[in-house]
Amino acid sequence: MAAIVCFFFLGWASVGLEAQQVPRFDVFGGYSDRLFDAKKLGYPNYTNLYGWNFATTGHIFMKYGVVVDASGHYGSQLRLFNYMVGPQYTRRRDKSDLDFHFLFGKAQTRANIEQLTRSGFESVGRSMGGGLDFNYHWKPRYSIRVGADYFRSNTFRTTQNDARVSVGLVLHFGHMGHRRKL
Amino acid sequence: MLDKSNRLALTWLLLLGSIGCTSTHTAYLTLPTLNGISAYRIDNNSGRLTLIVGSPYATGNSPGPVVVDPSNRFVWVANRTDDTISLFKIDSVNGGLSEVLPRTTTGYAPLAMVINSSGSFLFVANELSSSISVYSINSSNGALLAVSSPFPTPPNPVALAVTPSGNFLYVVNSNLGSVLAYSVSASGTLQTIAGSPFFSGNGAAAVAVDPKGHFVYVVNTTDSTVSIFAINSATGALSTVVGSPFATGTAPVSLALTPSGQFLYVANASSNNISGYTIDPTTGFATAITEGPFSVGTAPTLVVSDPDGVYIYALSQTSKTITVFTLTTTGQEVQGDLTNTGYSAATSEPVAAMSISQ
Repeated sequence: MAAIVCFFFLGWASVGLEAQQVPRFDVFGGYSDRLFDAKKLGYPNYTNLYGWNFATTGHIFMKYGVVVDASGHYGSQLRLFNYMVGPQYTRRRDKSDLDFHFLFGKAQTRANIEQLTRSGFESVGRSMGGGLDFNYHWKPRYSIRVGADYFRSNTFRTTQNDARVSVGLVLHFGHMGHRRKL
Repeated sequence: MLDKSNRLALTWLLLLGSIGCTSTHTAYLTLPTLNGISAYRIDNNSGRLTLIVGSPYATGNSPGPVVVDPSNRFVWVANRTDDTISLFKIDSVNGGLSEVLPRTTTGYAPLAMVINSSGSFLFVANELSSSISVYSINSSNGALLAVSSPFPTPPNPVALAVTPSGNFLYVVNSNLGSVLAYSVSASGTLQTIAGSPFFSGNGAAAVAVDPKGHFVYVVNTTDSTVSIFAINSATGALSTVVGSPFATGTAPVSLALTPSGQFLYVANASSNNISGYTIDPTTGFATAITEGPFSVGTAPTLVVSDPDGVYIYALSQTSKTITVFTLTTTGQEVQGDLTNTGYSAATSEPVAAMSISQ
């Protein structure tokens, strides 16, 4: 709840950015669906997990920036968290952007299987991946984002290959130039 | 009719739904040096085993025999130096285990266990106290209740098997080289069958009953043979089939039948291979499969058939591996010869026993 309030406070704070301007920072928050490679943990099939995805992008140059990405996904037994950072390339258009990024960081996987002495099992390991985001410029300070990522994570001494889809709102801050007219 | 966007969404959903949807079994392996039990997911398409998260789960000391109940809800493990049985609940989502306390007391050194096909009784062979414990199983929570005090046997019962009907129990006694035969009443009490014990061979070590309840198979480690007996369906008495005992490799220690009862496999610990036989369904005569014996690496100590009769798993305690074989099929017909799939799974510690869910 605090995260949602904070997100809309940031939206209010971003007032003032005009159309056609390239922002200095983007903050994204949204709903996310993850197709988790649960078979590697002994589950019968891949599992769909649902949750959130937040990301902040600092645009260092017009086309290049750094993205910090965090996501959490939840199922009946499984909980996954990713904390990632990586470079981003942005292809800008008048009404939309396309972001390409690589991500590196940590994956934290928890399996809630009730035991006599513990409530479940947890493992933290390396994670890497990448993907793309499509941003539609809905308002001068808002965009709507649809993103898709691939992750390769090492937890529980296995390697999981996952896919993530996120949908949400992007808030823009500051400005570093004007976008190219088509 | 669906418009284009709906068709796209439907295609996406079907794609997501189809990814990785395979039918599977779960296997449970006891690790006595680790005092634990590991759970594996078996991919029915490849026979491959994947360790289930959380494995190994803690048991009592020196876990040995393990059985899965027919409804796939419970697992029981006999702790050989604790003289107890651990009850585990199977997680319905991933097949993982969680123990339910308290543990049930058995006789000394529970060395073998078997459950009847209806899941109503569990039989335990106590090697050092030379007895058979019989427990009724609470179908709702898996709890065990001793039917009576343990039934005494001659010294050193080491293996047992029950017929699919649940009417007869056969216990291997290695000292006598014989099979002890018991009838099982509706309440679980045992009654010695006339003519028992039935001589098998020197070093009798493992026993199995064919899925149709027609024959009993016993491997004789010292003699390097397998004995086959026909079961009298009315009395449970045994009679040696023509040609029995049949030669195996050196030091047979374990045996497995396919669910059809058509093929028998014997693990030979000293000759490092598996002997295969085709069983005549009428006479019980065993014909060695000409392509065999099948090489399996170092000292196979266990051989297990999967419930679908597609794969045979050979376990080695010394190399700590599970080798996966597949039965050759020609068209719709299953042949008895084994093909090594090239896939083997490593276990963290030597395995004492393996049981596969239905």
